[in-house]
Amino acid sequence: MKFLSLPFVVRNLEYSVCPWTGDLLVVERECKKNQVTSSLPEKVKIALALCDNPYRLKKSEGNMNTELIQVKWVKFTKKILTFFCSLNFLLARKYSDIKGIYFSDSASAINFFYSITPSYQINKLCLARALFAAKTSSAFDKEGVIFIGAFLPSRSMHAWVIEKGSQPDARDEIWHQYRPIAAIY
Amino acid sequence: MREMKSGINTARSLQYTNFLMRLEQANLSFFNTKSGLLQANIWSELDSGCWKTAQFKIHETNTLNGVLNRANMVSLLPDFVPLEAGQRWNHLEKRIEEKLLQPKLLKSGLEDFLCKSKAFFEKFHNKHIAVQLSGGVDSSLIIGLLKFFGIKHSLIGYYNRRYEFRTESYIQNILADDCGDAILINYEDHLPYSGLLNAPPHQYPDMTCCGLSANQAMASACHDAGIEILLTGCGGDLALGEKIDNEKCMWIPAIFNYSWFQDVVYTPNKVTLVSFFSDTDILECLWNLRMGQKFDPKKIWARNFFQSFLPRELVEYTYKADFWGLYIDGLVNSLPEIRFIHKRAYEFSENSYFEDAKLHRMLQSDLYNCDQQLYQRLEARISSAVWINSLASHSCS
Repeated sequence: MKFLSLPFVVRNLEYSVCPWTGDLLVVERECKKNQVTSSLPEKVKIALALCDNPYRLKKSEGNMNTELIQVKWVKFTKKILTFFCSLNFLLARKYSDIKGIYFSDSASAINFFYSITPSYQINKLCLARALFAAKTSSAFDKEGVIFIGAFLPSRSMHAWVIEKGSQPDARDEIWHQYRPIAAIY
Repeated sequence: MREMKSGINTARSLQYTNFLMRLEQANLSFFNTKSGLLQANIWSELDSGCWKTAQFKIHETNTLNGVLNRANMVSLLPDFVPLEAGQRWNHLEKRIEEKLLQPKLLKSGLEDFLCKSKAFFEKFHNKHIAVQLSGGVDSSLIIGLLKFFGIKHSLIGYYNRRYEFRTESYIQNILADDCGDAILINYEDHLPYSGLLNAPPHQYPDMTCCGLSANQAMASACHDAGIEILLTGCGGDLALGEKIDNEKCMWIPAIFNYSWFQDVVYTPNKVTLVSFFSDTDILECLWNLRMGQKFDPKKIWARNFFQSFLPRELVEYTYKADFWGLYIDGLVNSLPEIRFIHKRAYEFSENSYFEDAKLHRMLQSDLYNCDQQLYQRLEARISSAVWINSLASHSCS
């Protein structure tokens, strides 16, 4: 999966995501213009337009067909991915590059992720959840994008998926507060 | 749609500070613990220097306890207990008593709600009504109802171009275009904590003063547009989202009307601020309609039940913008003014609470971390300093 930086400049401060560590970078810049969306890959452009206009998003209804799931392996994948996310952003990205399709779409993958995650951990694992969806959803390659956003001017960051014209994580109630500053697709 | 530019309020606020030398705060009275009598105001006592006895740490604790717990607040003035709208002094038990909603159990339906709403709007017959347009469910419902009843109204709201407010802006634009008579004030020019030096003298500190500039701009714009009644959706979070059971109702209708802003900002501009959800008949109806419901922070029930009065987007989606970005920028931008006010409060009061180091220690924290408790403590400190400044600048000895 490719990493695309979407730096955003406001009041001479440029906000971006470090592709190696995943940290929020804030750099002073004088009058640098924001990226023109027409130069972006089509899939990212479409997904970004939906982030900008959340009322255009379709409702997602993830189904979790447990018969198709090799639960043991999926749980193992989730565990490894969560561990890598806590260790290193680049490592987690590279691990999620190795596809292991278990779900038809990200909504199903995310539902499964929730079902095996203790509730106290849910808020912390947005990146692991998004990368897990990208790794295990068959629809992601064609129509999915992970966005990493910042809630400015705070330093708070968040990751979420846009896939097939919808935001597949019905339990994520905060994603729309965050301005996308990087995409993984 | 008209957009208001920055600085519209400066002239007006300067103009009315003199007139407000002894502001009548109709929604505030005091119980004198020494004489055992109620007083309409304590201006003469403030003149005699009773403000010097204030214990500001208490104000901080009160602020942290929250407005819903205001009956249990301890007065920062040892001899006077402030009584706000909806409160009275219980002489027997020697404590503040809150006027709670006491709903009767009734069978209610949409027809009843519409009937109560119509009666509410009819109170303002022949007045120029406006609705505070936020782009959220509560104000959109009021606008939808006014449209349903064919009642002429204007809209007035704050706009900003921040990313997290794009959903609110979208709804604002739909409703503003539909209404045809809308004023939008740029919130970036009136962020929280700005313009605090303009605070008119008031008798008791109130942390809502942190939103002074925005409200002054709105009151001034209402005045200029001839708006007499400004309807708000304040209280909608409680009325449409709170858990409802058969136990005693703890709703306090009076707190939805922002009495401090009414007295200090809106009354001088001849505008009455009225929350739709402060009407006891409407609240009683909603209480009965929602009987047995669980906590519903996204107001799913309201979005469905009132769907014919709301824009489609508010029925199908539940986005709600987070105000933290505005608060952080507001605080950071206003730091020089806040430091100045705090320093002056120390000079005037010589109270160690306002020592520079104490504010400095708080400001050393990460202000970008959306730490609610830190901001509440800062607001308590700021509102205390604003109070002292407002009195001292108008020569209370």
